[in-house]
Formats: sequence, C-alpha cells, structure tokens
Amino acid sequence: MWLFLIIFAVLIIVAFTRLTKLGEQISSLEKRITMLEKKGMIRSDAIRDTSLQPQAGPDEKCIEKEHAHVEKGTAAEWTWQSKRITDQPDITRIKDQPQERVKEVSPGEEVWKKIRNRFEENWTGIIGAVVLVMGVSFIGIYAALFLKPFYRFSMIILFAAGLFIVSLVMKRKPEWVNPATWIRSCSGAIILFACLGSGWIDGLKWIDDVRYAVIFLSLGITVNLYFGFLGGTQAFASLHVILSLIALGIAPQNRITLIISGLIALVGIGFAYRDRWDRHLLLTIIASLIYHLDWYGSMGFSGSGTIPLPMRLTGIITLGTVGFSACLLHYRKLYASKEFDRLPFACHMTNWAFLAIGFLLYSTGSKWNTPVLAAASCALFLLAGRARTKGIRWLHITDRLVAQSIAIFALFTLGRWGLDTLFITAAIYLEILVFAYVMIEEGDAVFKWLGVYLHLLAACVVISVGTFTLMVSGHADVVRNSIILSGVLCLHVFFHLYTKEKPLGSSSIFDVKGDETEVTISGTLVGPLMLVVYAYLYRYVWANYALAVAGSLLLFTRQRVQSNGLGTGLIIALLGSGIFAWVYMWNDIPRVEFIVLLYAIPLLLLSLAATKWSYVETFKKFIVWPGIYLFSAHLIFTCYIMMNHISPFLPGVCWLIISVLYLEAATRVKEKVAQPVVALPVAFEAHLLHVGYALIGLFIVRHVAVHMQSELYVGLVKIRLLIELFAIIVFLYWATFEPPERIKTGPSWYAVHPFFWELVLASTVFTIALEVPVRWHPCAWTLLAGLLLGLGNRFQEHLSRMRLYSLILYWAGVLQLAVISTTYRTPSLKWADQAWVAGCIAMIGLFIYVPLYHRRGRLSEISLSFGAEDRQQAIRHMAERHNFLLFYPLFTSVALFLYWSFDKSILTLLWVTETFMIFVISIILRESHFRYLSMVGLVGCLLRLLFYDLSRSSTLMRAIVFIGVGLLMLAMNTLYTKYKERF
Amino acid sequence: MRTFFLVFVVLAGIGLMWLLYVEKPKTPLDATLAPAYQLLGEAPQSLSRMLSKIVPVNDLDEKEFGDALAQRFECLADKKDKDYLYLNDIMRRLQTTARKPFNYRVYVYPSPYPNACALPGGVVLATKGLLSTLKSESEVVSVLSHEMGHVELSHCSEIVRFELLSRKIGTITLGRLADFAVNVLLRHFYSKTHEDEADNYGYEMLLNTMYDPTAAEKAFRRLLKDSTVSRSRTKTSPRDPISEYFMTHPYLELRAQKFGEKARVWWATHEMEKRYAGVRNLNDRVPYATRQFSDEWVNAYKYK
Repeated sequence: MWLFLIIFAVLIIVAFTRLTKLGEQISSLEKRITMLEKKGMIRSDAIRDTSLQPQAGPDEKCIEKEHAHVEKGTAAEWTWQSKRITDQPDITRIKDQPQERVKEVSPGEEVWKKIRNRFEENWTGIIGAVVLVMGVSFIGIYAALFLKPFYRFSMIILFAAGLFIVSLVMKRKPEWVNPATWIRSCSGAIILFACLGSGWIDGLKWIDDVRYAVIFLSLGITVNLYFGFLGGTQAFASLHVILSLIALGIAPQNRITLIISGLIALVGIGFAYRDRWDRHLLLTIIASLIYHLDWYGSMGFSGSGTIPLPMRLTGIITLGTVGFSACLLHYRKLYASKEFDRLPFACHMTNWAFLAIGFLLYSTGSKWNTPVLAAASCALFLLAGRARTKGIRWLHITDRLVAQSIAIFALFTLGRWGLDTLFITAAIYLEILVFAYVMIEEGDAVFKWLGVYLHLLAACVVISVGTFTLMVSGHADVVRNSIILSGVLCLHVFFHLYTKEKPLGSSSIFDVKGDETEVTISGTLVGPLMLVVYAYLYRYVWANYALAVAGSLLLFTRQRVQSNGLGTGLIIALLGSGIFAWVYMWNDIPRVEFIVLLYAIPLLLLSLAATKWSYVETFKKFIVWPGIYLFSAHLIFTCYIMMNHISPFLPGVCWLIISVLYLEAATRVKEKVAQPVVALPVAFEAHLLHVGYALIGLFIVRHVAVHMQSELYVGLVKIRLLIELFAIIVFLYWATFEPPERIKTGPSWYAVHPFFWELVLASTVFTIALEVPVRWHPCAWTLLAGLLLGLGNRFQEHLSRMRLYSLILYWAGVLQLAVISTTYRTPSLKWADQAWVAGCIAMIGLFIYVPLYHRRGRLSEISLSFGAEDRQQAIRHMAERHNFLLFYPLFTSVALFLYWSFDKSILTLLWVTETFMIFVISIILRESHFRYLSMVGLVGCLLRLLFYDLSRSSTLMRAIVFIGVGLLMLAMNTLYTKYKERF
Repeated sequence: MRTFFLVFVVLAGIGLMWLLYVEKPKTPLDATLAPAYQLLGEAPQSLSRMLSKIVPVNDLDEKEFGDALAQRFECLADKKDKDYLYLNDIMRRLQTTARKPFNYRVYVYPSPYPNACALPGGVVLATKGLLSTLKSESEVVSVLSHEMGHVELSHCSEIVRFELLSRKIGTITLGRLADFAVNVLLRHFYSKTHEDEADNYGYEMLLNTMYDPTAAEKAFRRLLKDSTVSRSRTKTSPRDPISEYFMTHPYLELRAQKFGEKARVWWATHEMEKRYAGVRNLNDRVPYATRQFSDEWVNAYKYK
C-alpha cells in the first residue's frame, strides 16, 4: 500500500513538472505554425489538425505534403495529393519531396529532434519512473513468492543499484541529464523502500531487531537525502525530504523516529541554505508538521497530560531545533529587501505556526515555561534587530511582532504561578508599555505607532478586567487590586506625559505638538483608570483623601502640560467618582453627620481644585464650569445626606441658604480674585448664578414632593408655613438683587432673573392657597391684589407688571366670592367660621379696591419684563375695556353672592344696597354709565319689591325691606343732588 | 441695607434650621405628589361647582333622588339590628347642624371590610367591619360626619346633577351619560380635594359636638392598621406619581397626621375643656345622648 502511495506521489510530482513543460512546448509550436501560416505556406485547417495531434505520424506527413502542394499552388492538386499520401502512409515518401522546398524546416533532423525532445521532456520522467517502479514492484511481488526476504531485499537493492548505474551512464550526455537525475531519484526511493521493508514490511522483513531496522532505515534515508542533495533543485530536495519523512512515518513510532524526523527536517532546511529555496522550505516545514501530528496521533496521545515527560522534551527539542533553524534561514543578506516578500513571509509565518502548534502539542504545562518563553521572546526581539541591520524589513517587523506575541503569551502563563487575571493583565500592560517605549526610542514609524496603539488597547483591557474582577469578586482583595491598578494608572500617566514630549507624527487621536486642540485617547483613558481604582476603594474614607491628592496633582499637571485628553479623562474621573460616592452615601454610609462630612470634604476640595487648575490654552481661558457644577452637586448631595435623616425639612432650607450664598459669591468672588495672571472667564459668575437657580429649583421640587404633605406644628405654627415664609424672603432677596453691570452680560440673567418677582408672587399665592382656609381665600386674594397694586405703582419702572397681576388676583377674588363662598358649608355655628362673613369682608375689600385700581391701575402704562409685542398689545386692549373688565365682574359676582348666600326675603334690600354702592362709585369716579346701571338695577329691585316681596314676605320683613329700600333711595337722591355737577 | 438684608436672610435660615434640628420633625411619607394634586384639584372643583350652580337642580330634587335610593336599602335593612339603630340614632343628632333639608339615614351593610360611603339625598352606607374596626363612638361620629360632609358639600349631587336634571326632563339615560362624561373628565382632578373637604367638615363637626377631636386621627389610624386598607399605602412602598394622580383618597397617613396635629393644637388652646370618647358606648351600642359614662371623658392632660 505504501509502495503505491510513494509511486503515486512521485507520479504526481513528475506529471506536474512534465505537464508544465508540455504546455510550454505546445505554445511554442503554435507560435511557429502561426508564423508559417503568415507566410502562406500551409492552411490553417491543417495547422489546427496538426497542432491538436502532434504525435500522429500521418499528420506529420501531411504537414510535409502540405508544404509541397502549397508550393504548387492549386487546391485540387492538394486534395488529390493529400488523399494519396494518406492512403500510403510511408515515411520514405517524405524523402521523395524536393529537398529545396523543405530546406527551411530540416525534415530529417527536425523530426528526430522533435521525437527526442518530446521523449525527453514529456515522457521520460513520468512513464520511465512509473514503469520502472512498477516493474520493480512486480518483480518484488513475483520474487516474494519464491525468495526469502533477505534475497528479495538484495534483489531490490541490486535493481536500485542498476538504476543508479544507468543514471550515471546517462548523465554523461548533457541531453540525458534530466532523465538521469529522475532515474537516480527513483533508485534512491527504491533503496529507501527496501530499507524500510527490511524492518517493517512483511515479505521484505529480514531484520528482527528494531534497533538494526532503524539503523537500516536511517541508512536508506541518508542515501535518499543524499540523492535529494545531488538533485540540485528544490523539487528533488523536497521530494526526497518528503519521501524520507513518509518512510519514517510508516515505521513504528518512538522517540528515535521523532529524533530522526528532526534530523531529516534539519537536513531539508540545510538544503534550503543553498539559495532562496522558500518553496522547498515551506514543503519541508509542512511535511515536518504533518509528521509530528502523525507521530503524536500514532503514539496514542490524546491530551497534553498523557505524554510522558521524556517524549515531551524530545518533541520540544526536536521542534525547537527545526523551527529555529528554519527561522534563522531568513536572516541572510540574500533576503535583504525593503519591499514585502510574500513567499519568504509565508514561509516564515508557517514556521512560527509550526512551532506554535508543536509546542502546544508537547506543552509540559510547567510554570517554568514562563521564563523560557520570556527568554525566547527577548532573544527573538534582539534577533529581529539584526534583521533590520541586514535590511530585511519584513523579517524585522514579523519577528518583532512574534517576539511581542511570545512575550504576551509568556505573561499569560503567569497563571501557573498562581497569579490572578488582573495581575497578569497589569503585567502585560507593563510589557507593552516597555515595548512601546523602546519602539518610540528606536524611532521606527510603524513600531512606535504599533506600540502606542497596543498600549491603548492594553489600558482598555486593564480597565475591563479591573471592572470585571470587581463585579465578580466583589470587594475581596480590594487593597491589593487597587494597588495593582494604581500602578497601572501611574505608568499610564507617565507614558502619556512622555508621549506628549515625543513627536509621534500626525494622528487624529494623539496629542501633537503645535496642535493642542485634539483630545487624546491616551489622556482620556486616565479617567476610566482612575475610576476603576476608585471603584475598589470608595467605601474607605481615606480613599477619598487619596483621590483628592492624586486628582489635584493630575489637575495641576494637566494645566502645566496642557493635555486636553487628560483634562477630558479627569472630568470623567471626577464625575464618575462623584457618582460612586453618592451611591455609597445614599445606601451605605452611616448616618452620622461627622462621618458624612469627613467623607465628603475631599470630594469638595477636589472639585475646587478642578476649578482652580482649569486653564485651557486651546480656548485661552479657564474652563471652570465642570469644577463649579461638580462642587455644587457634591455640596447639595452632602447636605441632603447629612440632614435628611435628622429631618426631611432640613435639606430644602439649607439649599435655600446656599443659594443666597451663591448669589453673593457671584458678585463678590471676582472682586477678591483681583488682577489674575490670566483673566478669569467671563461666565464665571453666570455659572454660580446657574447653581443658585438650580438650588431654588431643587427646593421647589422638594417642597412640593416632601414638605407639602406635612401638617406638623412647632408650637402653634405649621412648620410648612415657616418654610414657605422663609422661601418667600429668599426669593425676595433674589428678586431685589441688583448685580454689578458685568454680571448682566449673560443670557441667563435676562432669561431667568427677571422672573424672580413672579416667583415671589407665585410662592405667596401658593402659600395662601395651601395655608389659608378656603372661605378666606376671596379676602386673601383681594388683600394681595391691593398690595400688588401699591407695589406696581411704587416701583413703576421695574414692577409695573404687578398691576396686571393685581387685576388677575382681583378676578380670582371676584370669582371665588361668587362660587366658593356660596357653596361652602360648615357645621360650625360660630360667625368666624361662616363663609358669608368672609364673603362680606371680601366684598367690602373689593369695593374699596375697584376705585383704587380705576385710578391707579394704569393698564396702558404696564410694561412686561418678558414683554413681547403681542402681550403688550393684549394689555392695551384690556386698558381700552377697562370698566368692563374691572367693574362688571364685581357687580355680577356680588349680585350672585347675595342671591346664593342670603335669604330671599331680604334679597331686594341687599341688591338695592349694591345699586347704591354702584351709584356711589359713579359719583366717585364721575362715570355716568355706572349711574345708569345703578338706576336700572334700582328699577329691577323696585319691580321685585312690588311683585315678590309684597306677595311672599312676612309683614315684618316686608316693613324692614321697604324701609331699607326707601332710605337707600333717599340717600341716592341726596347724593345725586349734591354731586350732580360731576355727571 | 443690602448687607443687612443678607444677614437677616442667613440668620433667619440658620434659625429655622436650628429649630428643625432641635424638633426633628418627620414626614409621614418619603415623597408624594398627592397633596400637590389635591391642591391643584381646587381649580377644576371650582369649575365643577360653577357648573352645578348653573344647572337648575336644587336640594329638593336631590332629596327626591335620595328618597328613591333609600327605598332600595329600606327593604334590605334590619330595623331591629343594634348597629342600625345605634348609627341612625347618632346620625339623627348630627343632622341638626345640617343645612340641607335631608332626612339623613344610615344603612348597615354586612361586610367585614371597614368602609362607609354617602349617596345623594342624605343616604349613608356603613359596613359592620367599620364598627368592629373603630373603637369609640367619637371615632364613629368622625366617620359619619365625614360622609355627611360629602352630602352637605354637594359632592354627591355633583356626581348625579345631570341625572337629576334629566329626571325633570324625562330622559334619564342622557343625564347619566352626561354625568359619566363629566366625572371621567374632571373627577380625578378633585376627588382627593373632595375627600379633604369632607375630612375638614367632619373635624369641624367633632369640634362642634362634645366628642374628642382626636377621634378623627384615631379613626384614620385604625383604618390604616387594617391590612385590607393599608395595603400598598405604606411608607416603604410609595406609589408613583401617576397612581397618585388617580388615587381617589389622600393617604391615610397624611390624613391622620393632619387631624392629629389639629387636635393637638386644639387641646393646647383648650386646656380646660373636657371631651367624650365613648368606647363603652360603642361596645354597648348605646349612644352618648342616651347614656354617658364618667370614665369616657378626656381632657388636655391625657395628650400631654
């Protein structure tokens, strides 16, 4: 079976070689025929036939005949002649053709040459080898039936020797060199077959002692390899190396065969030193690898644990020797090239793959692999440097990368030393950092970027592993892990600063001197790294102080070196650490004020440091907002955590006080930071004001969500009311704040601050709605409306809009007088609890308010701080309908209030009183139409008096009503007489 | 002047904080928007009242409607039942303060869950569970006053005003549809406001009788203790803002605190007063007006 396989392999190789040559010959033949065709000597049909059947004798003749007849020049003759020649296929006829016509093609010599060449080039190697090997095989089989194994062996050896002698003879003639070489190779293969058979093939086996059999096989291999060496080409060398390995593979496997295979491969590699024999090298390496896999399988090993150590070591040594020999092969001046060399590269990479797979197979799993691999990595790294000196660029790059990979792999094996993933990752980071440093120092364009990218990747991996470890193992080994990560952080920072100093060339992700606007990934990664370290330690108070010190140093450094990436990273770190601290403070920190304060102080200081060292050259100003907002957020949160457990009311009040302090700070801080070296940012105060607004917003939210539910009293006063009153005072402080001109430059000033008066008003309305009983609401709205009217008149320039709000509140009072007061019910019998009492007081107030507003309301002069033109227009329209909007709602409301609140029997008297009041108003305001209105009302009342009261009221009530109405009418008459000149 | 104002504001703030630090007041819930919804409900409630004023339906219409409703319960009521007699006796005395011309009637519903509700025209339903949950007559009065408040403040008639109107016209279905539409659109806004108004009415009723004003707080706390009522209303499981919007009643914790504080202030300003609790009255189903136990009187010192 193996014999046929060998033959088959030989046949394939020979056939492949021969077929290539055959193709070339056919092409050259076609060219020649085309040339002839151009000369008009032959017909293309015939050419095609000829070219398709080059070996056919009759066709050859046909060509000759064609030549002759083309000379004659007639197609008919040609046809006849052609037929005749075909009928008489005699080669002598060709000779009968006139000599002068075939002189150009030299018929005799040409034919002989063709036949010889074809034999030589197409058939000798293939058929000869096949026939001979088959013949030997048949003889062997035949002999096997009759002879003893030793004789059979001898017979085969003799046959091989015969072939060898034939090859020697043939070699004397230059034209037979090639077939002679093939015959010699065949003889070598036969000898190898015989040697193999003498030990292990039934029928040929005559050596029982395995040792001798191996020696014999080795002899056969030696001869075979020698013939391969003599072959002088890659094809022969590869053939004999492969045959040797196949033969060795057929023999039972042990350590010796493995060593022999290594020697074969070494010899094969040695052949490749003759020239750039990369194809041969590639085949040798692949064959060697296949042998190793076969050996591994045939030994029955299924896993690394099943291989005995001596076997393992043998395999490793064998592999190492072969692999490194192959590797060194390319370190020759012969390969010097600045261009990428594909075949040697593929060969080199295959060799590394061979080594990798092989070492994986024979891996001992020992922890001592680490130093070995590390040493190998160092050696290869240095070796790769030699490739550079020799000018083999691709090899330099490849082996540097391989060295780097081996180093990383070596670090991975640190797990065998009991080290955990985080430590190993950190070690890999360190290794990559060293690599990157060396590469940058060496100045190689490719490697320095590669080093830096790898370093970024390693940093990302460290961050991921750090996070994952924290998630998986919780807070076990936090100090140890945080120390490891802190080390990585320090190295990362130093390296980042180092790369800032070194010009790395143009890139969009790294800081480049002269282009400071870029945000670097390298610098940005400092943030996540810091954050991971803090994530391990945030439960410790001391960790916050350490964070504050480290963070401040980094902030200071950032300002000095002006690294935008580092700045971005620090913002991430500060924000993230703040969130961690908040989560801890929210969930776990003991609710003791001192501890909370102790925990929070470093974060506050760090935020202040972020404000102080915030100068960014790119923008030519301090970027203070992250620091300010972070500080404020910490402050707000710390206040909450410190105070909420004491009382849920405390944080809100505290925020209000802080808001006032922020407002003051916005005006005063700048005055104290006088003559700075670099000017403070314009928006510094604006940020403080924004925080103040935010604090007030937070208070409002908290008041609605938390304070509002409480009905608790301190003494006889509600706590909620006290807080609301304090809030109104604070809002008033904000509203009356007159800032320096420089603060008034920000848009927020115009967008938010003017509305503080509205906030004061809204808070007051809210407080009244919440704290004052519903029945007193009309009185409260009337009072507030009067107050706003006064305020709007007193501060016409700034607060004229208060008069508009006054009118709105007046309407609210009017509406509530009619609706709320009349539907309110109480089981109490006390006067003070009755809705109509409050309603009457409100009614009096409204009647006082109305003339006041009529005189001082001046709607048309109102100016809104947020005054869009359409709103101003609406106010002008209101001013035009002044009386309609002001008086008639009141008159209607009072009429309804009287109707719904009092007994129907005295309703006429009450309504007449209302008309009297309207009449008085008409006199005061000198408005005739109110007089007419009062007259109409009076007529209505008189009609009711006649048709309702006379028929339904009791006599007493009737008397009272009539007297009352009469007196009022007399009073109206008196007043009219006295003031009629006013109308 | 400005500095003075600043110093005043800061000192006032610090003073307030000191007061809070010393008193350490706590809130019943961590956070809730229910009171805010309750306050916001006042505006739509005013609109609803305006609507009621415009609709030509008066107390007599509501009374007729109530009488019709009462007839349904009348046939189911056991008029010899102690609870029935006891509750109606109390109600008869409470209704002397009522402004609406209704005959207030209480029907006892045989359910173990503590609950009560008011219907238009002065019909009140109370469960047996309510009487077993409450521990004194003053607490029963507190609950009945609350229900009476719903009737007196026209909360019940607002729900059926269009039905009442349509009875006059003769198309009841149309009226019911109109009520349904208005209630769906508006009622969520002010249902908590209604409850608060009825609470206030009930509390004022207590103040105007001889009963202990702390009964309101006690009644709420007893209802809160009842697992069927307090379920999902505890401090540890506050509702989300949307659920709070659709809540029909304010939180019992808030109601208890509100009226507990009011009662505390009342006792602080009425130290010489004596009020009646009526634990034994409830146990014996004998109203205060029929029999007074000397040990049922409480004074301010009891709450100090």
